Amino acid sequence: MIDPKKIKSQLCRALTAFWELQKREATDLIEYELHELENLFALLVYSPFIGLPLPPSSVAYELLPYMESELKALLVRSTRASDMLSDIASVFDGL
Amino acid sequence: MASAVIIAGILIYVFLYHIFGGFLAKKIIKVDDSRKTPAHSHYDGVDFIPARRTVLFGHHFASIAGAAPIIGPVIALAWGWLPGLLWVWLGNIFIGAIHDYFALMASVRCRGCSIQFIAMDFFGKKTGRYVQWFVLFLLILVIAAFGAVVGKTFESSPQVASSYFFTVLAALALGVLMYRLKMEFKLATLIGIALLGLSLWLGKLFPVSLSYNTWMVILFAYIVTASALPVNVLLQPRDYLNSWLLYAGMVLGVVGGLGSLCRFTAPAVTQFAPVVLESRATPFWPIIPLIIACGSLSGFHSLVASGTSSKQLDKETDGLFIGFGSMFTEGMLSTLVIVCISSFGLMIFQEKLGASPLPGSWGRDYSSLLNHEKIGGPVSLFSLSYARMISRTLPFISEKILGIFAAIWVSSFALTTLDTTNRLGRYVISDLSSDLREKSQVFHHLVTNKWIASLIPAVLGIFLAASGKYKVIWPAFGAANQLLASIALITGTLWVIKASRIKRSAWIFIPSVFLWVTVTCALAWFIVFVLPGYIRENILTGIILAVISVAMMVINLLLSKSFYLKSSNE
Repeated sequence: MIDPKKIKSQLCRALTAFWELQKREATDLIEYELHELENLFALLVYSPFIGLPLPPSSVAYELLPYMESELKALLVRSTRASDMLSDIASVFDGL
Repeated sequence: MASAVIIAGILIYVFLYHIFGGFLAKKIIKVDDSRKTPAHSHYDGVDFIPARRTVLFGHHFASIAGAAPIIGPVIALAWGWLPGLLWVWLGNIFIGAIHDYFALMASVRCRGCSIQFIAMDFFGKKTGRYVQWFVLFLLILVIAAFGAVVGKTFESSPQVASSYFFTVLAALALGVLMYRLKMEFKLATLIGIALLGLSLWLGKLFPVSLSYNTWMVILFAYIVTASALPVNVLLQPRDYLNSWLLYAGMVLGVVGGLGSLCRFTAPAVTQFAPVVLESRATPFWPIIPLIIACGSLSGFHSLVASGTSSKQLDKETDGLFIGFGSMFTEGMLSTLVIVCISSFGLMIFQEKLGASPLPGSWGRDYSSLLNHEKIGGPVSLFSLSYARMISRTLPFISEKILGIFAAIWVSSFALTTLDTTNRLGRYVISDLSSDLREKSQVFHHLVTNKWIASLIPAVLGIFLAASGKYKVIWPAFGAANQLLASIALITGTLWVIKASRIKRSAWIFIPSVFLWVTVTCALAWFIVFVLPGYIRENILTGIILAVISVAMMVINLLLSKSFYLKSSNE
């Protein structure tokens, strides 16, 4: 027996997934650029660590609690720094 | 016939997805949902993040689908519709889908590393360099092949050219609505789609007629400008509109193909070696993988699969749907292309040229007629045939608008690839030149300058495209892509043998050896038989293409040696 309620709920789920996909299609490049900028910002704020005293250390320390997630992401990315080819290939469009 | 082929394609793919894909997943990869994927084990909320499988499927498919699965099958129709269709189906099922799925799962099991890194792990650091060289060659040849095909389309169809530039304006407007004015997403989408429709109509009203070489200059300026702009201005909204073009194109194609109830007028088989490349009798084997690339198999997919997809896979069982399923969907797209041309290609030739390749002389004439200025190359023939097929089923839609829509669909994908290759090119060139830092700092600074690194593939690619010989450039692009696929497949095979210690590795060992032998023979044939004639006609571009092709062959043989030594030791 065909259950109209089941079909309706499955259609709703499919449509929700479709819009979620489209939102992702409309933001993935910007998101990629945003992560790059966040990495850059984290590097600028904590540049004294690599010998470039750009902001005063006090500013860097003050920002430290707010930078937790950026620093974690930056650390993970730094371990994959030499393996970014596939990431770039999959963010930008295919052949 | 058209409906029968589409239905047969869907049934074969669905059946083999469950039977063959299920076998690979359970018996060879041995998927296990209790094993954490990198999206969970390395969760960072940024790169490693689990995604819903339907969403990841759509994103993966949009990333692998471009213009190549449409253009390749059109050129391959010279052999008749059956050989091309069989190569799409069999190549897709037994090589391409396995390649994509194994690249994805190898990456998932190796903490989300790229296929390049996994290959380096197996075969040493040099292999990583070789992969990068292949990617660099691929980028240059993609720009050349797609640039030449789009230039040919724009030259022969001025309405398509102007429509494309109207769609660029539509994308710019959508960018402002979405990202500056922050308009509600669905409303902005509706306006974007309406603007897209308006662009097609305006393009029809205001055609722009320019010479091929002028289009080459404009395309070069477009690539440089588009890749230099912030992504939210043009690239992102245009990619978003492209995704709608892709879905609309595929849905309309399936509906049109099923409803048109037309017979195939193209011959099923012509001859083993019809004239395809540069007035040369071109044998079906080994050349076919150089002509039909992405619809059947593509090395670029291994990069995508081991890029963001492997880092966002929620559970291992989803991998089959993402890797295998996306490749099958792309195969279905190529099937639609073959159906269109086989049904209406002959009619289009008759209308445009007053003559058509008779079934008996199809193999001899098809390629030269495809290149005729009144036809305008593979994109134009596809768009005209596609429009005719849809208008049979949906007669209330203007055939002319449908033709422009189809041409814009393919051209947009080709041009998107052109401007994004610049970013990849910059990364690859910077990495490849890292060894130069100690030897010559000045040269290293020069090559890694972001403008120079971005421009190297664009300049070389457009320079090659300016020769207008897409039939010579296209197989070279196919060779670079398939050699990359060959590396990825061999890496996948060794990964399975090493990691799973199973006895059924023949299922991927045989396709990987077959692919390597085929592509190596095809590249050798291309270098020996096609390039000398091309060099005689176009000395400078011929030499560049010859250098790239010979370099690919040398790297391929070096890689094979290291593969052989490594697998013997293992």
